Amino acid sequence: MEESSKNAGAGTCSQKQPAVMMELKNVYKNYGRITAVAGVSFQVMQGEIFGLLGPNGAGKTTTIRMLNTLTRPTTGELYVAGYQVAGNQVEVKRRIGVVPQQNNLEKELTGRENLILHALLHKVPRSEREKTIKELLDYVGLSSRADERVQNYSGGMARRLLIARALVHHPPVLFLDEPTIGLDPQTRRKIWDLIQLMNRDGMTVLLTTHYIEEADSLCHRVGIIDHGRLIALGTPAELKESLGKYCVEFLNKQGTERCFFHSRSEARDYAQEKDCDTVVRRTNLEDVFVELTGREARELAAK
Amino acid sequence: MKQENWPQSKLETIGAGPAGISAARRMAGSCLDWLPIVLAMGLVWRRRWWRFFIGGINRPLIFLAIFAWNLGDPAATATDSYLGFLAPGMVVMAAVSAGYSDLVNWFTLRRTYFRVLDEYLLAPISNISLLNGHVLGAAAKGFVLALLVFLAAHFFVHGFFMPPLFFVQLFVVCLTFACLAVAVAMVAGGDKDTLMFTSLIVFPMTFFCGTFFPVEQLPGPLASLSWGLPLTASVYNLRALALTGAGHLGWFLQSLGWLIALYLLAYFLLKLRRED
Repeated sequence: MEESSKNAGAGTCSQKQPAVMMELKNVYKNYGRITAVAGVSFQVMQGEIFGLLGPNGAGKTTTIRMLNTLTRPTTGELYVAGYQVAGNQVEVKRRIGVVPQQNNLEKELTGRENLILHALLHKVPRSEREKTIKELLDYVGLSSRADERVQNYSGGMARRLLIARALVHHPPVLFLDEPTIGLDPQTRRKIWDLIQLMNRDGMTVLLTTHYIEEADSLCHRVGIIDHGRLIALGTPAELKESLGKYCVEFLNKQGTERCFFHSRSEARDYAQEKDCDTVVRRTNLEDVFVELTGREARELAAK
Repeated sequence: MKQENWPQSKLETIGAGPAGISAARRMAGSCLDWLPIVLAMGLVWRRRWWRFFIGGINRPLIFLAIFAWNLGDPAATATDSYLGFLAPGMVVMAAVSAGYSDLVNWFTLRRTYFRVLDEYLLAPISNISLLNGHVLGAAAKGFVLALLVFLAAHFFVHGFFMPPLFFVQLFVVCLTFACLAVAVAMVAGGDKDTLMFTSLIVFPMTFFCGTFFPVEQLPGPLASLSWGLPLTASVYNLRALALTGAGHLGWFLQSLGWLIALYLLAYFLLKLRRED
């Protein structure tokens, strides 16, 4: 059964052509009457950092939980590392690392003990367990605090330990759910460096975030998800270009208005026509996000 | 895109899990998949041993001490004193308290609040291993605390028997209530639900299933109801073993039946939750 479903969703594995490491085909997830994910389809290629962007409650975490086997889709097919998730959960779990949004470390245990526990659960051979854990603690800069209980860790340290824990069994695919939420800018940059280092080593990364600059600077490709639907997909550059490379921003009675143009001269001409203060700048990913998902805060919209 | 940096050999070895681990070894290891869970529970409990000890044995010890001082018989023997009747009941109370109460809280809070359970759910282990690890970890702790209460009972009353079947029966009680804890935690929406179930069902059970007095003294329907609960046969068998050295096969099989039934219930509820 495993053989038949293996590689069903994957592309050809070769050095020249990147393999498909994750694939969703028309995936739906309903919780009663609420549709959390509505017909999402996309692929993530081997060695890619793929970002899922979306407002609160858009369906990002549900999508990641379906890919990492924690939640079952209502309908649709999901493939990870060449295995169909349905029916091959153990095989998929062996090949994925998950950094959850919430710190779910054993707080009574030390950092090292958390990693040992993960290694035991994932059957990392004893001969390489100690070496791997030592290397990972060095990698995330926690060697000196490894034997302290996790309850004494700061938010940034706990997050770095979560990343180290996800890597103990050498997964080729890593899921990061809001990896830098609530962290200070310095720690956030450290986490970004870690993600880029892991990717440089060949790891495929899927991260969810609503920090636009995080997606812009880290991700090779970005999918924007809203109300459970994938509403845009492409490289950050492609998405920005789809609106226009240049943005004219000005304030009127309705609030800040933005107009997009494909050339700087068009943008400049338009700005000169306006009899108010204007800013001409390059379009950023946040512009794309706001244009596609709307300006209203989701908590307010829900009310 | 950096796929050129990702050698195919690395995908094959690393992608199959930790490098070098064979399928045969994985198969052999899968029999012991529950062990890391027991280890984790043991490590957490070791760190907070005083809290668990006090929480687990204080109530049975207080009951024993109160009755011992109230009855005022320092030469009480197991077979002809109320304390001798009471002590096995208190042992069971400690086993239930430590085996059930801690696991139901552990499981519920970890599932709904701390999300620690996700770490176990994401491990490549089966539902049976997940269940076995939690049940064995909690039962082992319940067993240790119940034995401590039994040893403490020797300060108040002497002449108990300790045949091997006494320990087997005690472990069956611990396992049964650990299974019940998992089943309750799978149904409960949060810690308030588990607290309600514990207060309404489990706590009264520790009083009305022959722990303090024979169930025959209960009004007719309540006596019948009591024999339909998982604790009564175990308490009676433990008492028979502790007071006479001989057990009752019917009671033992009845408690074993409860263990099997609650294990299966816990397994199906766990499976259902994971498929949700």
